[in-house]
Amino acid sequence: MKIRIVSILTSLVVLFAPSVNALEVDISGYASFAATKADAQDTSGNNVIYNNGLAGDNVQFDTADSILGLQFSASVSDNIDMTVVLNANGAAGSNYEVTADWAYATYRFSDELSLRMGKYKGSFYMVSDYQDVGYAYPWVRPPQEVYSTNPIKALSGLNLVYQSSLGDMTLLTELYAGSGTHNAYYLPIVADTPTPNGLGNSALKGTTTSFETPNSAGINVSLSGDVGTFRVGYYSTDVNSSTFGITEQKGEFFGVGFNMDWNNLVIYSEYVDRDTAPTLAGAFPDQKAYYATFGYRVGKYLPYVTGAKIEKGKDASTFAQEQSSVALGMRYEVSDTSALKFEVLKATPKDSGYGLFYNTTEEGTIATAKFDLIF
Amino acid sequence: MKLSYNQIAKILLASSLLFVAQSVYAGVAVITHPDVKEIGLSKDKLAKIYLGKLKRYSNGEKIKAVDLPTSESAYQKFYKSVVKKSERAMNSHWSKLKFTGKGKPPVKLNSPSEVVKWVASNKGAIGYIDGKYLNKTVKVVLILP
Repeated sequence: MKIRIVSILTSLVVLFAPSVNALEVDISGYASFAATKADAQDTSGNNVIYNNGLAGDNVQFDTADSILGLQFSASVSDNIDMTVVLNANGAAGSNYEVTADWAYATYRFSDELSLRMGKYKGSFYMVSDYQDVGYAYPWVRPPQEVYSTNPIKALSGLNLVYQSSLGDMTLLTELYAGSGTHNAYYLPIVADTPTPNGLGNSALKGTTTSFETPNSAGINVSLSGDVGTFRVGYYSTDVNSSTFGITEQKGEFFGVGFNMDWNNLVIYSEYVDRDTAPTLAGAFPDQKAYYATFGYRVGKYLPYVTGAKIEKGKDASTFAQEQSSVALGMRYEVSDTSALKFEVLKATPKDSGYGLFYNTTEEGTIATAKFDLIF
Repeated sequence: MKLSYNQIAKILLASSLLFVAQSVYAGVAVITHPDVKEIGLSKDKLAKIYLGKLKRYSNGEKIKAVDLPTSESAYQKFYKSVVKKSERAMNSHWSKLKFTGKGKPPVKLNSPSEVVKWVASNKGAIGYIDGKYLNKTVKVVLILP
């Protein structure tokens, strides 16, 4: 599979190469190589996997943490840019298949205001824009309690970006509208007891189902300065899923967070709230999730600790995931464009509930080593 | 053309004077295209330019910033005293903007002489170089000792 990406990427580079001079295509990219291992068992002592095969009993290299991305951007005219980001990751369902998560044209009305047309990433979280660029954040991966609550990666449509200065700060306002087809990993909550609408059907245990989001729209506002960034966002969509027999049911997603990187002190914290129509309670139950990360930079080392929690949302659905976790990690700057990271995470499902482990109510640990680079 | 000893001596003298004149700019020189009208470009403004926060000069002309390789001593001096960010912090800053289509880093050139050439031939261009690479094709707007 890896050979396949390399050959695809190589042919793309060759394809683009002749136009490099004429169009000035900028090529840059990012890559992450990870190894994960879980120590987690169900009550009968069987090994279980973590969040869509992110980690399992054997040391795994092909997971969602292993990513290769290439960005091609070109200025077509003074006001128009084209951007394509090709991305491949090792997650169970993707097998390094190359997808374009970003493919859009930007029209600049002014220095402040621009319109992106095409496929773009949804700004649901603080780092959702650059979630695949591991180099850009401290952790081995963003805390999964929060970052698994919205399975949408990209939307197709329009995205209006307004960037302005507020004194020494930059205010970014983003309005977007569009639609998309996505995949969601279905973690069975009470999978052995089928419920109305076929939800919680054990046949769906651990499967990836496709769903659509027509009529999506959202807003993302962030204020950033020397010390850090504060952001807040809201997203609303209709959800269709033939697997779950769902048509045009409403889902809403709210997120707020901040990060700071100030005098060696690094803090990240976010809170998200997923609020869906009652008919979506099986597939996408209401959830609340939050985390806080504290790190302190000592030369090239950045040790950090993260506490995270996912819990029942407004409707207190019995399908909701409930778990808390503590992670201890370390980032080491190998060079100015690469970092090596280690993390050990202990996740504890709440009481007899289910968290991000596949079908267990027991606690478990995940160890990860990761190398992130940009080029 | 044959040169007399006298002419050679004059050339040598002139070039040594040039050398003296150049060594006045022992520090890092911030340079712009000769037509750039900006007066009093502060370190603060420069930092904003190199962080991608300031995109136009006071008269509205578009700023086109160029950068040196991180291995150049002028890069080290400039980022330490003006932008006040480490290479790691800069890479992190741009990777967040670049991969999300929200900003573009300054054009990276390979050498100080390329920077001089680029700045001299692009309207609105700004760059920085070690003073010894200065020539008359560009305008000096600030000297960092």
